[in-house]
Amino acid sequence: MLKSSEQVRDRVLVISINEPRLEANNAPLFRQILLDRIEDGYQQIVIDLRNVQFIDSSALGAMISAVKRMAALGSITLAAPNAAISRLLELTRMSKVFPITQTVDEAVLRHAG
Amino acid sequence: MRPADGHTPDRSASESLDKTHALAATGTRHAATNMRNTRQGTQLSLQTVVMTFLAIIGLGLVILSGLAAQRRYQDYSIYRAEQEQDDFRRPLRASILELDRASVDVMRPALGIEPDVPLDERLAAASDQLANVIVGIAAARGADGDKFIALVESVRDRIESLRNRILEINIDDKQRIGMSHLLNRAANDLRQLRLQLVDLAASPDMTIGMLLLTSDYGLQVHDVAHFNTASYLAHVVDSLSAEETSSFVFLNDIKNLRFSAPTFLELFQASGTKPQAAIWILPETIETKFLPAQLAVASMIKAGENDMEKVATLVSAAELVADRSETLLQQTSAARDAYLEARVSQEWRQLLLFVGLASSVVILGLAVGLLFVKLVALPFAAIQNQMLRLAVGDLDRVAPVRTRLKDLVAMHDALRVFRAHAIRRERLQAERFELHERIAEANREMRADLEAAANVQQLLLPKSGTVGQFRFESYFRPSSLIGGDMFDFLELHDGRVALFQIDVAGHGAAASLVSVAAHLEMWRALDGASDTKAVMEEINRNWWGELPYFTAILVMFDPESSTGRMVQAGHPYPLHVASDGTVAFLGRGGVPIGVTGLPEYEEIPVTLDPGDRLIVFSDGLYDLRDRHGESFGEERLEALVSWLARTGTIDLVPAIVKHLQDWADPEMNFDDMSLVIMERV
Repeated sequence: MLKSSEQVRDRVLVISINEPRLEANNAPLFRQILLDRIEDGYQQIVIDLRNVQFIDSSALGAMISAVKRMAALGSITLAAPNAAISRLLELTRMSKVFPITQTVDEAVLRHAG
Repeated sequence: MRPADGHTPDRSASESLDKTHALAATGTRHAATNMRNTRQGTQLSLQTVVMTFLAIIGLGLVILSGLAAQRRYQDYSIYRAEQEQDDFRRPLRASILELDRASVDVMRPALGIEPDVPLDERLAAASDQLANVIVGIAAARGADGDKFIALVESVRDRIESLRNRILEINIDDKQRIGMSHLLNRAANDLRQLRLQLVDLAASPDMTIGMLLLTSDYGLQVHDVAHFNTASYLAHVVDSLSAEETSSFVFLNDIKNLRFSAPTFLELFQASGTKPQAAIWILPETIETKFLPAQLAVASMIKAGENDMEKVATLVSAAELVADRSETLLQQTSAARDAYLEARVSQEWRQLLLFVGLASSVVILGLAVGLLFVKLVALPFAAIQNQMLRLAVGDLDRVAPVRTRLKDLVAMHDALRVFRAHAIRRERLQAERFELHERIAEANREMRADLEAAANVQQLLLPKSGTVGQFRFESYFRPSSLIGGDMFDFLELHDGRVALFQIDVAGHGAAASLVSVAAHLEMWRALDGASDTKAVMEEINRNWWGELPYFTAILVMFDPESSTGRMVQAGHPYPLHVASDGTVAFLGRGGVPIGVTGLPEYEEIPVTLDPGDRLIVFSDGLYDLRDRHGESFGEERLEALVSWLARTGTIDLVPAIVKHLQDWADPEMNFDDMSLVIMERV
């Protein structure tokens, strides 16, 4: 069970994760949620990380496999990562894979625009 | 941190399960034994309760019946005693009657009226009756028996001496009067004795009382009539001989005779007792015959006349009273006999009835008890026994219970259902044990496979030591037997020294296999590689998109050069520890292998002067957590290494590892961890 909530804003699906840690034990669930939404036809997804304190390589892998599944024009934006997550994203240069924004609004705006 | 080979739960799994099963069975047996002990010790069995209940009711009924029977026996004894008393009562009464009549008859010859029955015969009869009284009293064995017998014997002696005197030829009138007095006194003595005997045998029965009263009445009338007659005759005889007129005291006696009759009759009416026929005739005889005759003699004496016809009338009236009295006494005696006979047989029947009732209650109680034991207690005990057997795991066939009680049949049926359930449960448990055993076997095999794989992985890792001008020390700890971390340090064919480390996302067997594949790819790419950036890009290019991504770091030094090149692919920034103890993170980061087609890796220079060290490690170190769930993280690692910066390379690895172990929560799962220290020597 992964605590999360979803809402669609301007045809952008915002998935808010309400778990303090995204890691090996819940990464498969997280991955499945993302793949299901892509299967449902969402091509613009924002992952709201406001309430997440830590992510590990498994969770990163889940997001990477999800983005690989998307069509050429689709994208996953990571919004509002904290300092530790930002450090990981920076280390792994994930800005080359995912757009990263400081706020959810910014992410939605970016997709809608 | 959890040791990799410290815990092997599957090896003795089946053994411990068997032990658990045995323990469970022993526990149940103990429980059953305790249950039985408790019941015997402090609780009552159904049998005891019901039997006690029956015994109390039965005992109550037996006591009640016994009390009733005792009461009946007492009454029976009283009536029997009454009957026995008649043995001396009646001869006593008969002798009194004889003496009364004799007291009159003794004077009749003086008046020329010869008695119908010879005087000697009457006295002999009285004497004989007294002999019977003595026998009767002796038989009754009363408390004062001897005293009474002595009294009766003295009276009898007096009668016998009178008999002798009567036989003498010349007896004058005065002697006859004296003898009449003696006879009268003897009769009075016997009456007194009779009064004492009444005290002796008082019985609580109205009918008996009334019958005694009737005979007393007859006896009294007889007494007064004869006493009066004798007194008048004495006076007549005396006046005939002495010609003296005595004063009359007799007239008052007339009232006495009259007085008693209505009293007795009214008593009879009130008591409801059926009076004897003669009781009506006796007062009438007195009123119509005796009292007029007595009055005539009294008037005659008063007038100083001498009319022998009147005297003869009085004598015959006295005889009539005697006859009527005797008739009454006979009737009374007959009634008393009949009554006592009836009461005795009735009391005897009732006594038998109650004794029979008490016996029946005892027999019925025993029968009910036996029936209860047969119908309830024995089947109940059988079911109880089978329940206890079932409780200790004895699943033998449930024996049929012979009972007609619906409840017990239901209990027995339930017991059979319990047994069926127990058998099914046992079978399921056996199946579960078997399944568990198979799983344990599969687990053993899998573990053996993994251990073999772990050996292979360990063999692929380089041994600590010196390569070129560098000394290498390493630490490797997979989260399970095998892990997704790999590293290697080697001298390339052109003399360059390379160090690389790989961390495949995830851990376990899959990550391990992927890491071996990555390791091979790294070797292949290093063979003839120009620089680190080219190596990484080649690996990324060739990496299969279907496989998980991995992070990597590659460091290369030319021979004899203190400056090398390094490229990071998502791998943690390595720590540079200068020989003066300065610690700094190096690197610019980079995309992990297998994430994107255009990673654009950046190569940066690394300088290692002699004594300088480079520490590369997987992110498993950062992900360690303490009891509060806090990650170890970059800052703590940097601080730790700074603190240990003066420690020699050989001791540095165990020092870091020990610190990490002390800090981390031993209960927490951890990721694969590996660490390599490269020192320029």
